[in-house]
Amino acid sequence: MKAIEVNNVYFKYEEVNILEEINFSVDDRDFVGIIGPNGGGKTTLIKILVGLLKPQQGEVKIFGQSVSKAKNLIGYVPQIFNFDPNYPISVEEVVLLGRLTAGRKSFRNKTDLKIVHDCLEKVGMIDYKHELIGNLSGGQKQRVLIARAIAVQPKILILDEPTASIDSRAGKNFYDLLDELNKEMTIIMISHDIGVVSQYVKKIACLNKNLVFHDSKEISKEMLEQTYQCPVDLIAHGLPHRVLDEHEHHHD
Amino acid sequence: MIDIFSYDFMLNAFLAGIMASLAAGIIGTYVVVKRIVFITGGISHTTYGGIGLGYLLGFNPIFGAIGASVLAAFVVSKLGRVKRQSEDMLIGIIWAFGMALGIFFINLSEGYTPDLMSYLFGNILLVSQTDIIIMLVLNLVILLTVYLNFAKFKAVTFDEEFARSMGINVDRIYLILLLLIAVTIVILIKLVGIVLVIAMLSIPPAIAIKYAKSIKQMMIFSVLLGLLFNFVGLFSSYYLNLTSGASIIFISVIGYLISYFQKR
Repeated sequence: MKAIEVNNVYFKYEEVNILEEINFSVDDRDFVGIIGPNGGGKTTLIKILVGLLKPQQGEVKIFGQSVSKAKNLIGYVPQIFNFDPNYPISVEEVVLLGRLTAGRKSFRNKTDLKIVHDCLEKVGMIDYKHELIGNLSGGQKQRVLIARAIAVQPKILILDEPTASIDSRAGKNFYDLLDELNKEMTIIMISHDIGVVSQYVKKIACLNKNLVFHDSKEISKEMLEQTYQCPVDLIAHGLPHRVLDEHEHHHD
Repeated sequence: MIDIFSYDFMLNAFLAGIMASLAAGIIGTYVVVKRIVFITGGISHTTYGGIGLGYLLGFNPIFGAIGASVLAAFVVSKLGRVKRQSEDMLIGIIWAFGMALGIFFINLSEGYTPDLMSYLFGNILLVSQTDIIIMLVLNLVILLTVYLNFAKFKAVTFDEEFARSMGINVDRIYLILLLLIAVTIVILIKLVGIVLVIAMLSIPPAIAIKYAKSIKQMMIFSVLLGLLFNFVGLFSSYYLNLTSGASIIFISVIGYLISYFQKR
């Protein structure tokens, strides 16, 4: 069974088509990177997959079920921190929120606490368990939010622009973590960083109102130009530590 | 100092202070972390319409206040969330409309309305036995609802989008929260009045958030701070012959300033 099936999805916002005729499917344990220009509908597509937005047309199936019935199959890591940094809540409590699936009243029995502990260990944040979320760095917060998403014990992990608030030093490690998680679950990830995407993901989808799904992770100049609708310099492949050509700096 | 309790009204005043601190500390915590102080102010002012109706039709104005604040909570929730109207704008409208309605009803009602000012700015001398019982019942409603929905309130006030992605009915939880705010406002009106309610709901939690490590702690700190401000405010209003509501707010603001300049 396919992990995700998207059939003929359209999304309009105030009469403007954000997404048109989106068709693709994702296999279990796949790792899909979605790239595309700003305003191309990446976040909208993600929000449809996690059930935050409903498409006006078309359907989305998660392991054969409708999105609303598949809530506990999906772990969602949002792009920005939606929360107030002053909110008095510990790292452990944040991750516990991932255990609060619909219909549950209590969410902190022994099993929940054990799952939360394991998730924090997996993302390398167990030492910060009792720290207030607001005291963490951007990269650390991101890891906690990933722990919250995998505390759902999902079959699919969906990340919206995860590198956005991660400093480059933490970056590498972070993708190793995703690689690790990919052994247990399907991953869908939006990224600006085309070079990074092509290093780590298995498949690439280019989204700019329409979606072109590539069954490989090879990025060609044509693909990018079609998606971004402007000439793009092809990024160096296979150089793990240098993604873009080095820029020349002139200091006078 | 003990002699002030020999007056029944002072005993009632202190009981009312305890009730108010409890409700305001718990619900104010949500108001502050969810940043809905303005919404709270709007709901509070609409109660004036209900109070005016009480005067006009001759029933206890406090019941009018309950009706009006609950109605306002529904309006904000339904139009703001479900119909996607700007909450900010809605609040401005119901805020003014409630006040205007109150004045209108009072104009229509016959005779002299001596304790009208007390609803605007609070008057501790007018807290009756009935008011205490109403406050107690409303407090129990608040405590029970918060206890039963504690996890969901936390999820929704912390990160609404994630809560929604988890399948939690965010709009329903938000409505329940607004209804609890409405109920809390009614508890506070007799003590500090419609205009000053907003301060009792926001100042203690605004101080508490600096020191709290969890929502539960923030609530406990807020309640304790509320008690402190209430009692110091009441004593000073009694001995210096000042309005109770204004005294409580003054003391609260002094408390806030002290915490502001204190390092965490």
